Amino acid sequence: MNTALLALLRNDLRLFFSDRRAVIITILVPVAIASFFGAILSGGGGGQPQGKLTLLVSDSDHSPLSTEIVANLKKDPALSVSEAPPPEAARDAVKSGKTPVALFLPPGLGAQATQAMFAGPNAPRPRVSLVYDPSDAAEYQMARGLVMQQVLQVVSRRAFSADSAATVDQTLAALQANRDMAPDERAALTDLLGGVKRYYGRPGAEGAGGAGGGPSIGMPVDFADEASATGEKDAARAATVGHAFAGMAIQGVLFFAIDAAMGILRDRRNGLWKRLRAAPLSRPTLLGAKLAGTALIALLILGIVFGAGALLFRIRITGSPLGFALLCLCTALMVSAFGLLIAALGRTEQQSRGYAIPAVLGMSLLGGAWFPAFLMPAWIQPVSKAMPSRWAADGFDAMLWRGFGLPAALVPCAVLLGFAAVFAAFAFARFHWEAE
Amino acid sequence: MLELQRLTKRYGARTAVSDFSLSLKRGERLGLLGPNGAGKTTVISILVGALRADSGTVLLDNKPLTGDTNPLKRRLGYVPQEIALYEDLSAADNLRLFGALYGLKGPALERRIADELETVGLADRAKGPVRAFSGGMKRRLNIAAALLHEPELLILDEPTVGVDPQSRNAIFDKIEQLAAAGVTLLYTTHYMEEVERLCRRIAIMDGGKLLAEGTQAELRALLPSRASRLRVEVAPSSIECVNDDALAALRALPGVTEATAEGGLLTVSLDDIGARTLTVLRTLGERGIAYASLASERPNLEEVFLHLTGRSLRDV
Repeated sequence: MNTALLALLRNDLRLFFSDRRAVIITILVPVAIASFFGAILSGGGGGQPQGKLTLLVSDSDHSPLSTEIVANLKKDPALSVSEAPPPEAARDAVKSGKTPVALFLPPGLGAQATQAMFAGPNAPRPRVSLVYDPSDAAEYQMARGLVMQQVLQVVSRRAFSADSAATVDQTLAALQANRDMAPDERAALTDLLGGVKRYYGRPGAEGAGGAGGGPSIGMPVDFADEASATGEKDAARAATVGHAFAGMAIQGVLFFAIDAAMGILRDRRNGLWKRLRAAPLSRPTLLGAKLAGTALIALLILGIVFGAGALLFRIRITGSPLGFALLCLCTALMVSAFGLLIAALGRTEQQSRGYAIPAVLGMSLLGGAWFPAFLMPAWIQPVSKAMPSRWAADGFDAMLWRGFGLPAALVPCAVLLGFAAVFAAFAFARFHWEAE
Repeated sequence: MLELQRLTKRYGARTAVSDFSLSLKRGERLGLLGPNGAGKTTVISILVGALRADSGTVLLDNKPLTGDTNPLKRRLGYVPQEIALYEDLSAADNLRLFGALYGLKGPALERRIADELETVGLADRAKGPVRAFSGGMKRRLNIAAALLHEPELLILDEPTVGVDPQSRNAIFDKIEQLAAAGVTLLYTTHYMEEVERLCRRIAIMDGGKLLAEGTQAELRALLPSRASRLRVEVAPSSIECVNDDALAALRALPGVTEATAEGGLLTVSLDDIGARTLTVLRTLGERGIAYASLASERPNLEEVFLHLTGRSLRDV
């Protein structure tokens, strides 16, 4: 690296650190906003998600009961249900953030669920699983409630329908044969099932359960919750906080890019640019030094914001540390090139700030820096993918709490570098080199 | 040493510099004098490579001074009109950057920084942030930043704008030291006193064009041969008679090119002091203006500019 480039780079770092108050604000603002988002959203309750909740269902049972559960879920106005036959496909869709919750109906559910209602507390129950994206606890909690409601309703209705009389007989026989159960408990359940049998035997009882469901006795199934992210006890919290810090770190460095651009325009106004142009320096040296200086500071900001997240909220890199580091580097390069572009497009500080601030806010919002992008309406998704911030946020999510390996970081890194190259090329082409 | 050949620069319909040519010999001190907006800074910006001319050539020792990384640029030192310093950095850190841009490094750079800070009287403020400096101190540092690499040709673009008289004298002393050391100087200003003091040769420009150039004597020779100024110290008893009407009456006299009053001092510019003085004194007498003393003065560059453009340097 040549002396002039190093000198310019060192100078940019000196300038950044010379204003301690600005340094503190630059770093503290994203940490404070991320902490705020993390604190209010990681409580688990959250708010009601906007619009319909997307639920992926994998039905491995295909019994009338499981089919009815799926059909009822599809009728629920709060849900948008789609089916994914292979359970692996459903699991991958949640892990990669394409859908927030997946429901797994196991084989034998229809046969076992109604019996399990009356089989006592220690009897084995079919296991209905919900795999969820821990970045949105509110969506998951809502989905869980709706699924439980539908499963209990359908199983109860079937248990108390005339068709289930045989099941009650079988259960009564099994109860009498069960020597492990306490006598008083067995007597109570026998009385109860006797009552149910009389209920089925009453005149006009045909199809009684079909009208609106009867009383349920107990949980017919076990609900198993599983967060898609690996290695975290409190995955929902980790995801929420991790996403908040990633989002605010990205927004923070994008705002820093505006500051860097303003610095270049200020140099132009103060005659410094003319002095630099009078020196025997190539254009790539001048812009390269600015690019490298801004990228280094952006990298530092990312490091401090994520470091603060690790200290204050225990966010961890559950995926590839190398992938995370590469993402930081590529994000820093992207924002640095974005800063150059801002400086190149505007002739004055006011002019550039006028469009740079809305651009950064738009990128932050549409890119999922404020909340996960999959929560946005479907029509915004393609727009969101056109934002470099979206790729950075998705990459950080994958490395921080989704637990993906290095390959998952490579595509976002490549896209970010692509954005950096396009921004830098435009900046170089449009830069106002002349100074009077 | 330096040749500017037929430089032209346009901004849309406006021509900032038109067919401007100028040459400068090694060791010479050339003042480029003109009012604000005359095109001086545009010429300088083209010369240092910050601006591209639409046409024309800049030659340094007969070699074209083109290209961002042209090694010839190392032989130029440039002091911009603005205080082109990083205010948040210390004086030494600013010089460290500008020295490094010209290839200086290590102990040699540190030595040059110490030397330059010493010569501009800022050695004791080396570590202080520029933001805390006075205007004069900043101007001196602005000059020091252009001298670190010991240029052969120093280009100063209005280096004393907004400077107090003490700092102005310090800057003049520094420039005179440099000139004595053999540094070639190109100095732009709109203060005629500065070029009269500092420069042997003067180029006058206005409206983007070179109007005249030469030594002070050569430029004065452009005026009518007997042109001069009459300074009249008005007697205290008749100062109240010196009013706008009186000045208008003087200006209306044949051969009077300008008449101004400041306190009790009347200054009348004449095209022929021998032929016109009596008429001026008679007019003063008719208006009841008695005088305590009379003196004549050689014309200065202000008169030359007025003669060439029909306007005063200060009026533009």
